[in-house]
Amino acid sequence: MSLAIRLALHGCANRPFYHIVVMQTHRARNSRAIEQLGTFDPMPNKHDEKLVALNFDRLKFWIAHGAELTQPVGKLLGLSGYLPIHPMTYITAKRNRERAAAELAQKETQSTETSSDDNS
Amino acid sequence: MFSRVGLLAGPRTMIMEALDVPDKSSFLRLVRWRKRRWAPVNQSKIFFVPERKPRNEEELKELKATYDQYHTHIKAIRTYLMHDLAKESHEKQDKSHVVEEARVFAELMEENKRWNEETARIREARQAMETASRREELMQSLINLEEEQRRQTVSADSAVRTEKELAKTFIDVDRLEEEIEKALNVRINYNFAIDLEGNKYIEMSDGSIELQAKTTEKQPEATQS
Repeated sequence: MSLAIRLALHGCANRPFYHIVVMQTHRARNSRAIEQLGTFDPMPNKHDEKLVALNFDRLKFWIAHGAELTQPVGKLLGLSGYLPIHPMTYITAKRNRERAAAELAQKETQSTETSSDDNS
Repeated sequence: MFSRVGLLAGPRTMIMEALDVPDKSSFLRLVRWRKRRWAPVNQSKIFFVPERKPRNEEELKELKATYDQYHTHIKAIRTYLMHDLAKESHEKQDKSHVVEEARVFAELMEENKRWNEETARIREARQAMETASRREELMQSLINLEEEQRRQTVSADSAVRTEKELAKTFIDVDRLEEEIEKALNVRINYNFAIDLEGNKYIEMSDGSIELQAKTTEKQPEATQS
């Protein structure tokens, strides 16, 4: 029986909220978990924070007992500094950087175009 | 509406025990299908092949390398946590457990020693009693043996004496002819007369008549001289 530390989506319409749970890999996302280790609120609050609560004792217990981490949980734990940074985090960051750079470049070209138009 | 029954197979584990709490969601699941289950694939979709998403080779190469490293790290951390947990639980156990166990063991040993001593005392008493009774038995058997020997001697003596008495009447070779002659000359008459009272008149060898009165006891019909 392979175990995973994974996210279970709770919340309601337009308001995602996750439980960080230990559950068998083959079971449905929101079926009853073996244990809930914490919560993750992906919507930034008024201080622009995405809050994560975790029971690290139990997390340690379950990792030691062979529970695998799914990608989202791995990313969260990597960002929290408990585990190494997840490879996908690097890729996402790179993509974001590239997108930002592209947007900036587009903006600059647009501004130069508008300024040249004004000049003419 | 379709229901699905989730079955749990295999040996029971700690996790399965944790799962023992009834959970309706895992046993009864409501599924809304887009189409009827027996409806075939749509005509327009029979040979439909979805377009593959573009792969960024550079990213993939980078991911491969970083994932290898990441998995190695995770494995190392997992091993470390496992050892750490084992050590923690071991240390936690040791302090209360071992001392208590040692105390209980010492108590048990003390009790066992007491039992052993008591048993030894009982055993020694029994063995002493057994030795005494055995000795007495042996003495008795010796006495019996002596008694038996004495009795045998006496009986042997008496037997010898009887035989010696009898030996006087024995016929030896010298007197054989004489005895044979004697036996041949003896005449015994088995006939007798009887009167109305039941008295018998028996003729003896010398010709005289002997009267034998009737008795209730059985009498030999003929007498030998």
